[in-house]
Amino acid sequence: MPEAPTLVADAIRFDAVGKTFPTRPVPLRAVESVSFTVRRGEFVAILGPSGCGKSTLLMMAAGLEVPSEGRLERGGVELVGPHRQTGVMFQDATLLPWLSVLDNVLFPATIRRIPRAKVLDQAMRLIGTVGLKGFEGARPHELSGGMRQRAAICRALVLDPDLILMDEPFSALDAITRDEMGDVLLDLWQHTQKSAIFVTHSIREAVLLADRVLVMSRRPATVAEELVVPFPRPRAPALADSAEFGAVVAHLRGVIARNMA
Amino acid sequence: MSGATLAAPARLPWLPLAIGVLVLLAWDSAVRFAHVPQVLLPSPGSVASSLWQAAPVLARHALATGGAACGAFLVAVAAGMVLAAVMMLSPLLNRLLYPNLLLFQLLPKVALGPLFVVWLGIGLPSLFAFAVFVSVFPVAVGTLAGLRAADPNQLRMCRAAGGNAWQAFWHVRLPTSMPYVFAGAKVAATMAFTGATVGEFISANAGLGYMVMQAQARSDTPLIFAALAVLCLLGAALYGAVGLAETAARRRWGTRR
Repeated sequence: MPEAPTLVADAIRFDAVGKTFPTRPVPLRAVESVSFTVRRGEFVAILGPSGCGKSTLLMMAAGLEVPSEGRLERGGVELVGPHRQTGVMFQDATLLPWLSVLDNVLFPATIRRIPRAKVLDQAMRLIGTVGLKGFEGARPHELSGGMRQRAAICRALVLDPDLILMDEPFSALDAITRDEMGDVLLDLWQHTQKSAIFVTHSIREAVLLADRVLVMSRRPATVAEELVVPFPRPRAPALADSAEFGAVVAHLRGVIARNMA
Repeated sequence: MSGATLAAPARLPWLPLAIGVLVLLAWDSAVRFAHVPQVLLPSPGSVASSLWQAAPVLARHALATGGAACGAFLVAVAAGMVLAAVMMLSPLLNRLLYPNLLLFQLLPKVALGPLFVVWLGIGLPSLFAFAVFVSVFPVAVGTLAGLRAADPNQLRMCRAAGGNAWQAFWHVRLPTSMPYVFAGAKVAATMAFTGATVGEFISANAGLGYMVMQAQARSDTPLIFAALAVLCLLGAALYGAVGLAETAARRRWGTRR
């Protein structure tokens, strides 16, 4: 008898996951015994300095890297490779320059051999939501950096995944565009039941977007501290200007400083 | 930034043309006033009249050479791309073939022409095979370089979307390789004519290369020049066609980031 999938409350579960890269002359220990769970619909930010191994953590969640030890479960089943219900955003938009914005957004459907007609409505809706209406036929080089990353958001969401993984997706953008993209993501998020892991080195982004923040130690990365963000949803971008928000950011800054010392 | 160059009207290359006219004039006056014998250097006028008189024969032989070279070019492009694809997708075949491919790149391949006559006899098969042989390498090496130049981030994105090695090849590597394929194809276009002409020198009873040998035997130097002029025209035409195809491909797979 098949198991009822509704019993599985966890989107993804890291169980004592470690990762060592066989570099020469000395193997690189990137991740050390990481355990945490992202529940369904939960938005978790992974906060840490550059090069601490948090990206490696995310690549394992995406099925692009295999853990050296420990176990990764996705929806209650061991994760062995890229998952159909997972959307991924990278540091760069990584759009294919020879495809139009629409074809780039539809790329996951192309790869999964899903007929265009089935996902076209969803693609157009997403393109409209992120403010790219009218640019469906444009090539990536005709777009600004922020617009490209918006297209990448659409691509990550086009197959309606239940988990979305974001690897410092706004780190290549200027500060103003970056805040703007945070708002776009926040707005997009209020209306979904998706789970998310958002890797960032921006405390502000982490507190604004996430339900829970995991602060990583220096390499090899372990979860140094966990903080439940005390702000209810829906959140407005103006939240970031409040004193309470500032206090949480300051607290996290202290936590990071302690862990770096 | 490209708008200005696109909007600019096509201009004739006046300076190179002027140099060409100057060389023709110098050539003509050298022959006229220094009394150079026709067998050594015919005047531009006598080459032109030879072109005119021999036009029907030249056309027939041009068809043979042009057909062989264009056919060999197409086969070489297809075979070169397949060879590169196979080496890309199979590490074992890559290890077996690639060093040999590079070795062949270094060889003076034209010197192997007589071997093709030994194996395939005199005539079209040996000449065609030889023309393919000399022009396949630039396409294979160029395409392989292009397939390997794919952006690792794009490949990772493809894999994250669930793409297998074949899909990464088709959707990321192949479009990336297009400029490299065309760079190789342009070299192959000239090599195919070199191969066809040399092949006709040693193993044919038709074609412009054959005609050049015949004219040489009769000391008909103006006809040699006439045949060479037609050969240049054919080579330029194929090169131009590849250029047009490249422009079309660039519109389709433009790789500006």
